[in-house]
Amino acid sequence: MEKVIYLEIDLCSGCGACVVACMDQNDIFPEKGQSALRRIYQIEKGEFPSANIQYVSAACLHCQDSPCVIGCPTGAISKCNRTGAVIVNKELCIGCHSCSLACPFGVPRYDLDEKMQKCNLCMERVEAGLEPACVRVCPMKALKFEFVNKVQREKELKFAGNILNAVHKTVGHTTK
Amino acid sequence: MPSPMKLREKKYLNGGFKTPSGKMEFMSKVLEKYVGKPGFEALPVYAPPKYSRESTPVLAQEYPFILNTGSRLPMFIHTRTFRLTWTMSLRPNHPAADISPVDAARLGLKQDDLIRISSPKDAIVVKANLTQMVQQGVIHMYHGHPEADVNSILEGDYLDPLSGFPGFKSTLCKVEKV
Repeated sequence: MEKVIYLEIDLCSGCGACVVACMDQNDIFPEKGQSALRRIYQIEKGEFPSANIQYVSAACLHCQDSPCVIGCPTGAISKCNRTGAVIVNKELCIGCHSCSLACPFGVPRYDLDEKMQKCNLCMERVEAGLEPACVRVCPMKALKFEFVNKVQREKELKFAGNILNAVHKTVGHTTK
Repeated sequence: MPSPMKLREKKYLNGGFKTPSGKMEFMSKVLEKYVGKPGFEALPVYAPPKYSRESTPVLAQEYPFILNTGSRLPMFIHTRTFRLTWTMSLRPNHPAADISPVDAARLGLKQDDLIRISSPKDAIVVKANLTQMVQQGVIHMYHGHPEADVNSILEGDYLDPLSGFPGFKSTLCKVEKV
C-alpha cells in the first residue's frame, strides 16, 4: 500500500498555501491561463451570523480503480506501480476530454496545449523520499501524506475518546 | 550564543509599566489631565465613528453601508502578497468587494456584477463577491488594488482623535449596480 494525500477537513483554513506550492513545484503561470493542480473552495452553509464556512483543498484523489484510466482511449493515463499516482503521458494525450467525462470529482484540467494536466502526487519528490509540495507547506497540517489506514486509526482513536466523553456526560462514571 | 533578536520578557517585574502609576491602568492618568477637552476621556468609552448612523444620521441615509477597508483574506499579508500572480490567482475575481447575499438581493446584484462603491469624497468600481462572511449592511473591500484603491475614497483627515489612526474600518459608503 502507498501513502496518499489526506485532508483533515476541519483543520483547513483556506489560506491557499498548498495551491501556491503546487504552482511553484509544477511551474504553473496563472496569468497565462494555466490552472494549479490543487484548488481551494470556500463552502458556505446557513446565514450570517451563524453561517458555517468551511474550506476544502481539492486535487486528484489518485483512485485505485481510476475511471479516467479506464475512460482514456489512447492509454495516456496510467497508475504508477511504485507511488500509486495516476499520471498522464502528454505525448499520448489527444485532448479528447474523455477523462473529464469519466472523473466523478471534476479533477482534469486542460493546459495551454489543450492536453490534460493533473496532480501527479509530486512523484519526483515522493520517490526522493520527500512529501508532496502542498503537504510540506500546509501551515495547519491539514494536508497529510500518510498511509490511509494509519490516518483512519488516528481518527478512530479520537472518535473513541469522544464516545467515552459523551457516555460519561450522560450516565456518569458508573462502570468500573 | 544568545540570539541578539531575543526580547527581554516580563520587564514589568522590575519597575512596573511605563505609566505614571507604574501599574496597568484601567483609567489613564495621562488622559485624565485632558478630560473636558473634546474627544478626551480617561476611561475607554465607546464613541461612534465620525461618519456613522449614530453621528451623522442624515449622511447615513444617502450612504447606508458601513465600509470596512481593513478586513483580511488569509492568503494576503496586507499589500505585500497582493500583486504576485500566484497569490492573486487565489481570488480570481479581483478586485472584488464582499457583500451580504441579503443586501445583494435587495440591490439586484449577482456574483461578479460590477458595483460602484462611493463615499462623499470619491468612488471606485469593483466586482461584487456574495458571501456570508460579511454582515448585512457592511461592505468589505480589500486594500492594495492599484486599479481600485479603496483607501482613496476615505477623507485624508478621517482619523481617530486620540491615536491618529485612520478610520479604515468605520466609514460610510453607498453601493450601486454599474
